[in-house]
Amino acid sequence: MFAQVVSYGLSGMDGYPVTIDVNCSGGMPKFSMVGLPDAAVKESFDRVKTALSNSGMRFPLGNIVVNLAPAHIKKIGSMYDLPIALGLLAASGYISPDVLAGTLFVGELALSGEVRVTRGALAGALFALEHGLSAMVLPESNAREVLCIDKIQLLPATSLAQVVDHLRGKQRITPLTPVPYESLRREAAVLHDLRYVKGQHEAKRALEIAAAGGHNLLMVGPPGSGKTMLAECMPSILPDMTFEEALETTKIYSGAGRLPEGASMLTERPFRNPHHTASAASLVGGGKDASPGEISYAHNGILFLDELPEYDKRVLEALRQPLENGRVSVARVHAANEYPARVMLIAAMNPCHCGYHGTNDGRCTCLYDSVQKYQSKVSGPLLDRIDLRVNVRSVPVADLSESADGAETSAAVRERVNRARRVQIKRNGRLGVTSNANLDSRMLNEVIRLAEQPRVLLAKATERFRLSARSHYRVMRVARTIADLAGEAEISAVHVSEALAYRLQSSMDGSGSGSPQ
Amino acid sequence: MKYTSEQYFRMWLAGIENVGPTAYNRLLAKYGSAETVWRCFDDSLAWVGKAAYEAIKGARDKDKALRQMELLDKIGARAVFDDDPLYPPLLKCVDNRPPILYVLGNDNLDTDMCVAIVGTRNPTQYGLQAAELVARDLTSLGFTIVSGFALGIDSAAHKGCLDAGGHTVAVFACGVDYIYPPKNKDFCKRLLDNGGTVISEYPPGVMPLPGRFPARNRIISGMSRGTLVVQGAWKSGARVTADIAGEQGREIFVLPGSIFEAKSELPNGLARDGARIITSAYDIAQDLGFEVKLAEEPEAAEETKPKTRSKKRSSDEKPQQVLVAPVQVKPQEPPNLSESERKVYELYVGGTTDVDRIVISCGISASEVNSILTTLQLEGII
Repeated sequence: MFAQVVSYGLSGMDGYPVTIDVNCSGGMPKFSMVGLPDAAVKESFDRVKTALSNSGMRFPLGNIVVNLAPAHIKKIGSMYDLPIALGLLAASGYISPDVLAGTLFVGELALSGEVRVTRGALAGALFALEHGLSAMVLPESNAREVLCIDKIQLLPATSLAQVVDHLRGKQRITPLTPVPYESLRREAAVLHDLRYVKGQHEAKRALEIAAAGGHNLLMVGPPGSGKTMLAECMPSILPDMTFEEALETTKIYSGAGRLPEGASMLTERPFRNPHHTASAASLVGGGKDASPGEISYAHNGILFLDELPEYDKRVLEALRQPLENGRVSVARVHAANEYPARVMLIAAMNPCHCGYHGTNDGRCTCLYDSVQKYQSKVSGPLLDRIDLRVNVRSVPVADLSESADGAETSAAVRERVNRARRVQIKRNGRLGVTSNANLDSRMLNEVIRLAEQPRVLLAKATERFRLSARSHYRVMRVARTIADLAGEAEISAVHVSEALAYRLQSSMDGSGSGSPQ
Repeated sequence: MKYTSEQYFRMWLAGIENVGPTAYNRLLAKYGSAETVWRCFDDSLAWVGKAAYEAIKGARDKDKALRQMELLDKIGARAVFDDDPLYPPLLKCVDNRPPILYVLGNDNLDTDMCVAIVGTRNPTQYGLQAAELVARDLTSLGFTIVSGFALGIDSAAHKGCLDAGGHTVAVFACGVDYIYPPKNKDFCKRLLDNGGTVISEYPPGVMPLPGRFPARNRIISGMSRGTLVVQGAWKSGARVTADIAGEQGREIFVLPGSIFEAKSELPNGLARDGARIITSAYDIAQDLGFEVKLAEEPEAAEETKPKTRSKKRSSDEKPQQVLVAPVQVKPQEPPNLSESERKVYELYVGGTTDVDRIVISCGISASEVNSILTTLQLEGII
């Protein structure tokens, strides 16, 4: 007898259909599995066999062939245990093959018959939705992950017996009640609050602009001036993640099995800070299965690179392309995947090897050339992709003892950031972009029209400071964000000149070292 | 450019590494001509010193010498010999003057109206502004500005002079075909395009080695009436230049600096040792024995044209030359600034360049301060 069960596989973070054909015929008892199963899938025979017997059912006798279609793609992982078990039961006539139709099954089986957590459940649910399936049976431990998906029946299963009872109509599993995304979001405890950062008015302003528009930010300053602290405050002022953004980000984590068991969809923007010894593959993605890298795990959130020049040069250069187009293609022998990688790059660095260049108190012991050498570890093209560059200076000790009472809290800043972001979504939404930083130059011309005065100012600056075409557009984006923060519909000269400041005032472009241009 | 055959031999001789001006002069005195040195070179030459002896022995390579000469024409440089009328007159009086100067660009070096401006490669905003301002004003008085083309103060001095449309001389510590520092490549082109001069005692193809910089400094101070030290550490290249200027009997001027600023160490220290403190280009002109008059006074302008081509500097009792200052003596107040712009401007030129400190001092938000700073920068005010 023949039965068919629908399941899915993961290619990168997206699901593709996998059909499990099971045929059970008379003859010598024999079991074979075809369709490029990997070791974990092959082992499923033993798990399924034991789970069936521990659930009070019998492993069918006879010549059994299990085929995982499409047969030319390698199937990975333990997620096919449940569909294989159900296929065997249907093929042996224990349940009717018809009840399996239209439902997506996924789950690993414990020897006891319990259904265990799997990865990529969210991608599965979205896949089911896309392919017009009416229901999905998934491990209960993955239920919270898909809680926000509606228009499809999601059936959380705890054990194989429960699923069989459901399919035989004995006892139905209660479908999950969809929960609106907004209600998942709760006030996360703020670990680092901006109000405890003393001084640093310029840097705080730059953080606010970066958060509002999703712009890349580079902080340059001596050791101990608070660069890392400022970066750690960043999550507390980031705008709320929209449902679509949360879906994308969660899919990446879910597909890679990085979502903790029982976790719901991600509602906070990710903050990733890989150590500077990270390899290019760990940052942009790689490995034999072309798995995502840190830049994808930071999708819709922050990738924080502390001590930027300490990263391997090749690693930094690898970031250039994903930073520009927000996607990264990872091609390896066994797989070639594309992952989203729309991140806000926050980087911090010292201005020179000893760290005190430009502080004017004579503490810098570096020769001019060594300063150049240190700074040149960050290449021009990478620097060009960073919209905001800000000098972080040491706060005088006297100012450190100031009380934090009068200072602005992260919550207040976040409110402004959220307001500015809503304006952007309203304006840019039809282009499929949520933040100003992600507008490409074509969209930019469509969305932004500069009045006479700011246009002249920008043209003048472009010529005088030899800004590249890319820089020119980046200044326009930042100016747009500054105007959005101010709640103004039109960009004025003040906004442009402030945006320019974050490109020009930095000690990173050599203007501080007195080269005449 | 055509040279006599003796001149070619002299270029060969002076171009040999380890043959300094002293050895060169002694050799010429003994043999009468460089050509004789080439022809009659033998063991009796050992008295020039072992290093020079070995060097000369190794350098008698005709092909190599010819290639050197071809290179000179190829890059468009010319050699100015110390008996050439174009050779800087003040440098002629210096003991260990270079026998040959390789010149790129404007070759009008026969002026004694030169002032050198030197200082650190890592200046503060104040130092940069002052160097530029003084260079500009000196230029408008008719002076040529000499410096070493390094980043920082040197470049600011050259730039100030170019901005005022004057003649500036950059003295290289390597061949004139090698631009050092490389960062100044574009600036070098600008300098040459605007009537500036690049000179060096080293033939083309010589690399900038550390030892060549202090040696080069004697040319900077040697061709100038005085040397202005803007900023620097006590032990620095600027200090070397100042010391040599003193030995050469030239004036040393210093720009006073804040006692809290590490880079004021050299100028303030030199001032204690007796260098002249100056606060403007006019102080320098006066100390060099000129009288400065403002262009607005019609009589003064009529009877005294700036004499930038005076041939010899006679001794103390010579009548005071009058120079005409076409610009105001007082530093220019930038016009039409709003109240907050003025506050930011004043703090910035006062040395407070840190945005946070400006924010705290003026009570203006960081966003506005940044906006104002960019505007001022774009308008060329700061």
